Amino acid sequence: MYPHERSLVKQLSDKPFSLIGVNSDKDVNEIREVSRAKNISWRSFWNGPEGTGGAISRAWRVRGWPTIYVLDKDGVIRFKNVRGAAMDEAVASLLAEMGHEVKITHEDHDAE
Amino acid sequence: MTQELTPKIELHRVGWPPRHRPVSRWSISRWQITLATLFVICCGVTAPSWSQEARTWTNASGKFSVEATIKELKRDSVVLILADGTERTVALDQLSEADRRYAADYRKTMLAENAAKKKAAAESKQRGEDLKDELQSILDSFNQREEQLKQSGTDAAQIRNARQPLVQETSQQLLKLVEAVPQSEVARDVYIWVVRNGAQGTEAATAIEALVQHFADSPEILPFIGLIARDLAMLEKLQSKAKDKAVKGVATFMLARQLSSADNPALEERVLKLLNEVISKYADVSDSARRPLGPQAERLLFAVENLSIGKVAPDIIGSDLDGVAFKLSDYRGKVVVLDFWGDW
Repeated sequence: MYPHERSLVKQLSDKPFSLIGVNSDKDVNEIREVSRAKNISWRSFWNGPEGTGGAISRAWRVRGWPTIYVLDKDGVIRFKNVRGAAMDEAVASLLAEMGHEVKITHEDHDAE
Repeated sequence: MTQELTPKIELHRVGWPPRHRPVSRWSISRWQITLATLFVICCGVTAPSWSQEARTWTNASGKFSVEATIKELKRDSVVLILADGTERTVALDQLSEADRRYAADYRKTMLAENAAKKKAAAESKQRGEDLKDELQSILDSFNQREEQLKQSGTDAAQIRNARQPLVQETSQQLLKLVEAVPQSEVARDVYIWVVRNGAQGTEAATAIEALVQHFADSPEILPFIGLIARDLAMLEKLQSKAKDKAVKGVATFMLARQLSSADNPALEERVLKLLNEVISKYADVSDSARRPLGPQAERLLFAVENLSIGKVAPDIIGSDLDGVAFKLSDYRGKVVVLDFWGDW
């Protein structure tokens, strides 16, 4: 996941787009280090010391990890659990609604 | 329907043409059809068909007629469904002689049919009792052969594999045994045995269908609703037929969950209705894992109302990995991919 998401974030850095995580690791210090080491540049909420049992994922009834929601500019849920190329398409379609035509491509080694 | 005293008022009330209405060309041709139909009824057909075929009903004076199917025959009146789908209740003594005779035949046939049904059910149950010995001998044979398998087998997977054909074979025998008495208690035990022992294919489908058909209101089927739920049509049938509170509650919740999983906005209204029914009537019913349905239904209701496609995402107010507070709604105006992730 990381390379695809990294690539997406990088390509859309000048577009009205954000990738927001909800991280479910129990140890926040450890995941902070891991994020730095793995070059995870996007911002995440921390789900708390209960890990996957934390308050945010409970409120969102998350059952599987990862779970993906794609929201439009008004905060409306438009897509769920899209991965890879489907995620790219979803994001591109919502940016197009805002007048930003983007073509998302990934280097082979990025898109795994 | 209460009886009216004057025929004129009654006819008007049930929607037949009032007497002052001019006779149109349409009614003349209908009148001819009526005559033809009356002829057939009086002289030809010995056993009228009680299927939902329309026939022409005529009033006592012979002046007015309407094409309709019979819906229900009451003591003094008949409920008709007209061609346009509306219902009309007509007092029997308002009808032509032929219609009254038709109604009398209808009543006789229905009574006979009901009596036959009751008799068949009683016999079915009775014969079920008679089958108990045979059932036991089939099960004894199964248990014996299963025991042999367990002793000769070397590992669990091998035993499981060898057991499956035995289950299928036994299921076939059992289903055949109760084929003629599907409503008997013995049949119910057979269906449950077949499902519980993991029969597959036709045998499983036959047992599940029979459970839904004949035992929708038996609490005994509660542990198998999950299996029934794999087939949405079966689940819907069970949900509509069940009278037992626990069965009805669990089936209603499972149906809501199944329908909500598609995230289809067209189904949302129905899902919400089912969930509200669970919350208001079956909150204290527990599922097969002994979890009460109420809280589960409320969580699902929240998800359907807030986490479905097309809904404004609930806000998240929290802190990032550096402890800095922020909100999801800070990102309004941007396309957001919200990714629930972990590095564990």
